[in-house]
Amino acid sequence: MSSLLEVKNLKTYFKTDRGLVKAVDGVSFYIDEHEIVGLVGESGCGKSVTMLSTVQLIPTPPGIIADGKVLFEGVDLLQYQAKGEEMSVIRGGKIAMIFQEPMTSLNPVLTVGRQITETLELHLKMDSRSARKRAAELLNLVGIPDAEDRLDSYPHQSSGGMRQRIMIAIALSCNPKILIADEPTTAVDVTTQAQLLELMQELVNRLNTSLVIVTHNLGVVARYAERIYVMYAGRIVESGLSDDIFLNPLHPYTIGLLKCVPQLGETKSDRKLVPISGLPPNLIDMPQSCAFLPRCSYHVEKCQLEVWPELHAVGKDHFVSCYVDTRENQ
Amino acid sequence: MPNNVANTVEPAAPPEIAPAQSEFRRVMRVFFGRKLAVVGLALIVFLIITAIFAPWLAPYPPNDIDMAQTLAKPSAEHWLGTDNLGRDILSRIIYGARTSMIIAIGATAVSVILGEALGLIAAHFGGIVFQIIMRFIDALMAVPMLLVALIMASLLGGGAKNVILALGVGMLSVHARMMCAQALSVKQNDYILAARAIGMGNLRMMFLEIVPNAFPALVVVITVGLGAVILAEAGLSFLGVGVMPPYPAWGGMISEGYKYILSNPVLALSPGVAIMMVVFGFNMMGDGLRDALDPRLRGVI
Amino acid sequence: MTAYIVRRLMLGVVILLLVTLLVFLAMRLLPGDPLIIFISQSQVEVYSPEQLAELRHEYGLDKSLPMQYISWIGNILRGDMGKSIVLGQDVGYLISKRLPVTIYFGALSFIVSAFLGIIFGVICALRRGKWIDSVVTVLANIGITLPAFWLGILLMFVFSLTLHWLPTGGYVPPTESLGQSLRAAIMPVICLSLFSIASLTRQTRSAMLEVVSQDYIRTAWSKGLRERVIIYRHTIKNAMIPVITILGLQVGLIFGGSVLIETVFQIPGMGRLLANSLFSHDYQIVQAGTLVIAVVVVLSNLIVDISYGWFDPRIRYG
Repeated sequence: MSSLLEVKNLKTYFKTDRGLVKAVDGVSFYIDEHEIVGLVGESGCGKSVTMLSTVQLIPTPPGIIADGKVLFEGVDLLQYQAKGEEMSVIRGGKIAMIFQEPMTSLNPVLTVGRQITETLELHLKMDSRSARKRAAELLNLVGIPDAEDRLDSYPHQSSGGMRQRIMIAIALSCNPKILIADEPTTAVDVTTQAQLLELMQELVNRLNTSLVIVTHNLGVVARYAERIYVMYAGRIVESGLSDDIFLNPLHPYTIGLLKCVPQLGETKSDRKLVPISGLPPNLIDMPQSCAFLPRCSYHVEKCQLEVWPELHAVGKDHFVSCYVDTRENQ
Repeated sequence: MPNNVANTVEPAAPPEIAPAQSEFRRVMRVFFGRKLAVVGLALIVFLIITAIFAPWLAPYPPNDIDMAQTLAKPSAEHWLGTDNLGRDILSRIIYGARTSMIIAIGATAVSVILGEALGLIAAHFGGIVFQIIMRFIDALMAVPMLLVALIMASLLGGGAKNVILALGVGMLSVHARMMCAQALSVKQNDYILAARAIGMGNLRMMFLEIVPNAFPALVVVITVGLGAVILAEAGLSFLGVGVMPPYPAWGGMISEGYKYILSNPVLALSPGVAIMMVVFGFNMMGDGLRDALDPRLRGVI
Repeated sequence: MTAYIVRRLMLGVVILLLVTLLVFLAMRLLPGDPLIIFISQSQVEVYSPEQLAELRHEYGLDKSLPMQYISWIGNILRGDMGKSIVLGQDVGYLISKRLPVTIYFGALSFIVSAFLGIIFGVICALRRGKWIDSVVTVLANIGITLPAFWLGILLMFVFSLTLHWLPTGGYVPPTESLGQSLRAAIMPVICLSLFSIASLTRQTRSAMLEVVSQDYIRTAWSKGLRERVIIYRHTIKNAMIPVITILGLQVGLIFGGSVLIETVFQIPGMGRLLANSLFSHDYQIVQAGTLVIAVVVVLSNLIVDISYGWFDPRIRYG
């Protein structure tokens, strides 16, 4: 059975006056129907750029999608013009996104209602009256009280958490097949984070939408994602079922991530939190060898001599890109 | 699995702080990367050199009257021809650069000093002082700047000193408003409260905290303002309230030339080209500086 | 919103009062007794002391300074702007003949500037980096350097004196002959509006580019909206918010420019009246004229502030 979304060898580069930044350098992954997938990695690892590339939202003067295929329902989206009719149908209608900053992601001069109804009118061809009714229903769905009044209000009159809910309402308004949530909870407080994540999980289950959560926060994906991709320096370094990744991490980077995460029930004497040494890589002039090498405590001589390893299977559905079998050292 | 929010994957090493020296280098790099800004700078340098070395560059003394050669067309002897008193136009334009520079710098200095002082005082003392000063500035701005300068210059009589004062007053509103806004926003910052708690003096605080923050915007406003002053001064000279004849002023030359437009149009038209070049230079420099000093670009490639 | 308007109106009144005070004081700083100037310009050779005293009383110059100010303000509120010492005519009458002319040219220039400036700016922003952007931007950069009065002389030289296509200036009321009126107005309006067109083009372009880089525009794209909708519904309205401020500033600039342009083109407007009055030390006209101009400027600023509310809901609903 073919996947809903299949990305093959995606490469997105940025031309800057300091050189070519290889933000995404050969990324392949898939999303099936009705599943929640996490895309995890530190700031600058290319996870946001990856998802933005699938719907061609990368600004193309400095950016360029250099290679790869984005197969949605079997059709390669990259063959379409970024500003063309076909992509317009896909965006919002089949693949929807919500972004990190609720405070700046809504247009300040348009009413909340208008920003919801315009997608309904565009993708579902609704007339303004039914669109407005549906918009009120959507606001109720995401848990916003007084939906009718809220429709006529402006974004600045709502709090950050509410604006994010409005974004979710807009994104889900046309029943997309995939919802991409790009750092959806980074800019809100802890309590709101939990509420938003619960809401998203409930809604995607109800509407049979797939959800991709892009985040640097392991805690978020641990609870909600069924499968996880770990990214580093523009590539996927480990992928697998959520349980496998957390209970049996294999890539040194993933291991490092989990080592610096405190666990419930641990006391001070149980374990020291160990941060990953070194700095994030400079994505210009990357060496051919493994990008994690400078920070890796498992490396062997082969790592310096060979190119960055390909992902290989280590168990069912568990892939890792490393020359070392880290299970021996644990 | 713990649902802990604090697990990020940032590295343990301390972040690098951009040293002041490389910040300056970055500003220079952005500025010189823009062709127009460099052109502007070149024009201004050319202007300054012309103004300083006028006696050596001008082919004739600017006030040498030669009644035998009035209103001559451009020739090998007089590249731009002569005016109604036989004076060489090119030389007068070259010396006019001095007039323009002096007045531009003088008027800008006056507007900066008066304006910034008013803004600081208003922001610092607040309350009724703030209201009075701000309403005064509003009233000043309700009258078009040229008219303010014209009224003042007429009242005081012509002459370079008075023109400088008049133009300075006309332009001070911008500086007053800007400095006031800067000072107010800094005043609300926490570190001001902290400084006060330590007992730091008011004046010291004003200068140490406020002025460095205001500097980038100030540089841009001054550069563009220089261009505006030169245009305004030309207007005043044209109306007859500029520098006193026989000192050459570009606006005054245009005014004289206006009467003789049919005999020798070069007299009226050439000073305008000079004005345009200078104002263009200042504006392009100002644009370049604005981009280079844009705080949002700090720390970005 | 109404409270906001009322507050701004009251502020406007305060500002105008301050303007009157400033102008009054400024004119009184004039060296020389205005009466002496009047005498030197009049036909009568000799004035007896009684006649002088009578004249002084007629023009209210025998009162103390504060009293002169108060009675002047009082008269203004009653619609009486006083009598010009130099010209001997009622100031209000003079202004009423001149003001409409300046407003005619000023309004034409303002409309032309707003229209062309904003449209050019939007086009440049949408075609950023293409040749039309480069050309128009260069022209705009040159446009803000042109001395308007010099341009007037240049245009007059080319189109009137050399080619004889257009009249050298003057004023033809539009009611008399619209064609003639516009023909005479072409060059002055070009001169008055050029700086504003160039300035607005630059500011609009910059504002549009600023808006286009905002997060909410990316959201609009991600919703699948087409480019045209994003430009007209999402971008332009936001970009107009800073542009409105600049537009408001042009009113004052156009008035200032009219002093010079009316001189170049011999137009019987407020600008020339004020310039002449300053030189003849006719302070009654200068006081009243400046006040009238200030009123127009303050009113237009008020309109700008109110229209902010229309464009930016954050102002409307605090």
